Amino acid sequence: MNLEPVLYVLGRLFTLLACVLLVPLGLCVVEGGLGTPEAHAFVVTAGISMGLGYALRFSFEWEPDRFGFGEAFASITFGWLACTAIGALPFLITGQIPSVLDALFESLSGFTTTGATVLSDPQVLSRPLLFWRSMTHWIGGMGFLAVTAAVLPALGAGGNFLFTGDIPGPDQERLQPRLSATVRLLWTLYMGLTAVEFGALWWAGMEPFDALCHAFTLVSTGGFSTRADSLASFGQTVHWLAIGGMFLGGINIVMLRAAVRGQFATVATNPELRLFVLLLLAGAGAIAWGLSSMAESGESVLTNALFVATSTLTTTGLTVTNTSAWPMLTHLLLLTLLTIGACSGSTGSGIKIARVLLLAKIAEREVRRLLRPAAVFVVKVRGTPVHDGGVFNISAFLVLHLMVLGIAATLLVLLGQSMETAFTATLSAISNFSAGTTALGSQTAWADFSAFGKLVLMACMLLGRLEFYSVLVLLLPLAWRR
Amino acid sequence: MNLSCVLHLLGRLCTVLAALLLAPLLVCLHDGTLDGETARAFGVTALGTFGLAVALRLVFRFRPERFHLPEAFAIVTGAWIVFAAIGAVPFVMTGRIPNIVDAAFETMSGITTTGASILSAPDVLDRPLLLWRSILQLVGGLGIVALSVAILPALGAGGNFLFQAEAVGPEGGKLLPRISAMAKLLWGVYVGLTLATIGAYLLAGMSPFDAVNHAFTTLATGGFSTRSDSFASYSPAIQWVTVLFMFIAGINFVLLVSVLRGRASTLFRNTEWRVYCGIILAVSTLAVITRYQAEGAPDGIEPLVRSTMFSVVALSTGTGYGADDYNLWPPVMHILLIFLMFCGPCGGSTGGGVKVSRLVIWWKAMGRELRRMLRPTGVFVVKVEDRTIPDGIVLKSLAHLIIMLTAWLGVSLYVASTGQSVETSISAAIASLSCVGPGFDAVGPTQNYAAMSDGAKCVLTAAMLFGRLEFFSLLVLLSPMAWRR
Repeated sequence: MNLEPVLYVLGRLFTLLACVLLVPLGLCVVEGGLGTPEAHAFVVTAGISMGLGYALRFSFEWEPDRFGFGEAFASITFGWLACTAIGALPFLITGQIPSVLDALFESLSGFTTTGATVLSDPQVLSRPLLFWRSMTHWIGGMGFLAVTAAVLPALGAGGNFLFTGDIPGPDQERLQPRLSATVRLLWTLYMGLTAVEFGALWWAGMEPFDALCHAFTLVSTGGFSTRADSLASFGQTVHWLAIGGMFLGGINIVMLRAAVRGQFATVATNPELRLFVLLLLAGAGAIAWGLSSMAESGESVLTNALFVATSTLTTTGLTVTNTSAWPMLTHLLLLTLLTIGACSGSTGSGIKIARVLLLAKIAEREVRRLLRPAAVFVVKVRGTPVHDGGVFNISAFLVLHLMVLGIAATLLVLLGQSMETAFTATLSAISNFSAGTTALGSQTAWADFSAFGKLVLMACMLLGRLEFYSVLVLLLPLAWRR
Repeated sequence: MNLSCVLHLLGRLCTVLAALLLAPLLVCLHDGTLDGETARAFGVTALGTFGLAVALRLVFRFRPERFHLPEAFAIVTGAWIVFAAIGAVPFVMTGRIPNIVDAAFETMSGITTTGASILSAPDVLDRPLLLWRSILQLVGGLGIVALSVAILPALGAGGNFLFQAEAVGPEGGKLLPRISAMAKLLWGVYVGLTLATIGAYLLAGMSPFDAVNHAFTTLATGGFSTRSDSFASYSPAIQWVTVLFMFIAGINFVLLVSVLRGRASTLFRNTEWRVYCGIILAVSTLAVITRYQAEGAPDGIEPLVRSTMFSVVALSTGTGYGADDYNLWPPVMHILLIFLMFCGPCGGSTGGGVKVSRLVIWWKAMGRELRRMLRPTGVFVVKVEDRTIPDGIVLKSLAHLIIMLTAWLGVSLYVASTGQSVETSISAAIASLSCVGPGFDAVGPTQNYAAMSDGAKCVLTAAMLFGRLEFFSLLVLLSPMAWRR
């Protein structure tokens, strides 16, 4: 590991973040002038970030030939942590979240697009801070797209063929091979989607501030809302728009591009997208069936079921209704959905549907291999063979997921949580799902966990967002060898 | 698929089953109840089975040249189903377990050496039926030893790949002779150990009938007991003896053969055995500490350690005897015990679960992937004890994890949909898939499966079979490829 180029990259990240911090600062200026404590906090934070950034950029040099795989993973992991630290500062400086750990939790939860909040009512935050909170989602989603869809495949790191290799269609369209071009394309799509959702929510009657905050949350499948009851107090139109927004946030962004370009055949035949839709409908149907015994009007049951299924499968976590009183079976179903998660190449989290599909194919191949030990069977996705490296990578992903889940849940139980709460909270954190335990039957809110419990959950969020590997490779001595 | 081969071999197995059905009659003879309805039930069942055996053997021909892999898998699955189906007949005929679903559950639980019971107290069965339950587990144990150590490796499946001293690889030699030679050797060890267990139980003060029954179910890591409180009221000496033999039953039988031949050092060099011991010791220690913190040691340290070790070893090996209500242990132990149930003992033993050997392979495969992320062009191999594990085997054990998790999820969701609690559903599913027996909450060690709905019982019965046959032997039969001629 050569720390110099890593620190240089972090320096660039800090300067970038300083620029981004000017956006909420702008909001402060528009709403109350430069004299407000919020404006002060953002100026100080931006200053710190800028200062740190330039200090690092001047102290260390960018040496491309000393920047290998270990350095890339270190940059990704430390990059997220650096953003978290800077992102927590405005909360701390204004004193609106006084505890350091809580501020870090809120910030990490934002940048990992989790949306888990330690606040029982987000309204205790002033508008610029609410805006900043939603914006951390948006930045986190952007960062994740760049990392998973551009940086890792460009590095040739194993297993990330999911994104590039899974693009179907007769033309076998690949994303632009060059890293920066790919990132630019993805971000254009991402920003376009944000703009469309902002416009739609505004049109549906939200005030512009709420509309923009929620557009950030939807497109990044985050989960922060500006209100304590999430979307419940908005009208049906907003709910349907949110369902659409979460859906678009949960599909592979390449599919989005194909749809924009009018290649509907490509979209319609994508196996991952098909399974995604199937899971959504099946999940919503099962939930509606589970709710049929409860006295609610038929239409709202269906809307609610579809909303909750979409919110859960895309690992967003926005809510329209109190789900904690729902039958236990629906909670188990939701837990299953959020563990599976969204499509690859989206801002959603979880195991990812592409992996689930491949896991099924891997298992099926072993069955066939038993019957024909001498034959060679290839795992294929839409006719494209998946090499064995990818097969191992995906299978080991499952082992990592289980291990992290087991260890984290055991720790939470040791800290005094019940089994149900521990597993629900851990799975939610790993899948970056915000509604968490309160939506799934337990009365334990994120704020109720002890300090150590919050640290465990923060680790889960980061591991889940960076798909385990980018973080865990740093634990290998191999990564630190020069 | 050549069904005629399969049916002929099943006919041969039915002959064995008919002979086994006569064994409980010995108890009738001893008790002087040969004219009772139980004796009649066994007589009729034995006769019927024998008739079926003769018919199958006469009607269908065995042609070795038509016997290939699909047929072998069909035999394995068919054998378990036939034993479960016919074995249930005496329970129904005597009316002691009148419900057919219940009887099928109890018998499948026996033959898969699970030990889950729908009886609130085994006393509702008379002595011949109790012995029959234990015999089912003995036979199931013999079957699983043959399956996991001889048959599955020969077919290229199973969890026994970390230690194959007298290796039976998938290559070379004729399938059947190799399997039978291996099976005979291991059965010798198995029967010898069963006799030793009977002796030890007798010495520790158990009554002869109980000693025989419990020895049958200990070595098979089964778990059926003749008493409704299982081992709770037995003396400390008996409980320690049980712990020892349950532990032994969880060791790879090929490794045991090697030790019995005087090569004791192989034991300590064996990675899987060391991890198995490590897991048991670690979980036991943690359990003793957390229990001591929670409830103290009112009767002294020895009972605390004993009851902890008993439950830990019973769940780890998939035996499932009860000496202590671990349902009352601190919640963190529930997670760890469910992990033990999931993981099971060594491959090539009579225990269930995914096996420690697979755990070792997953761990190493995971480490390799992490290293590969850093050095994408590097060549890394999965190594255990300086032996390279071929990629094919690594993939097979990873696929095993995928299937196990899918099955666990599916069964849990189904059981939960019948109205059981989350902990009951999840633990009942893993207790069945791992062939352990008792779970937590409503199916805890002092409870039973009687309150489950018929649908849940059927699904759990299927789960036991599925888990016992290590998924793949049954799954290949669902593949259309197996049925192509």
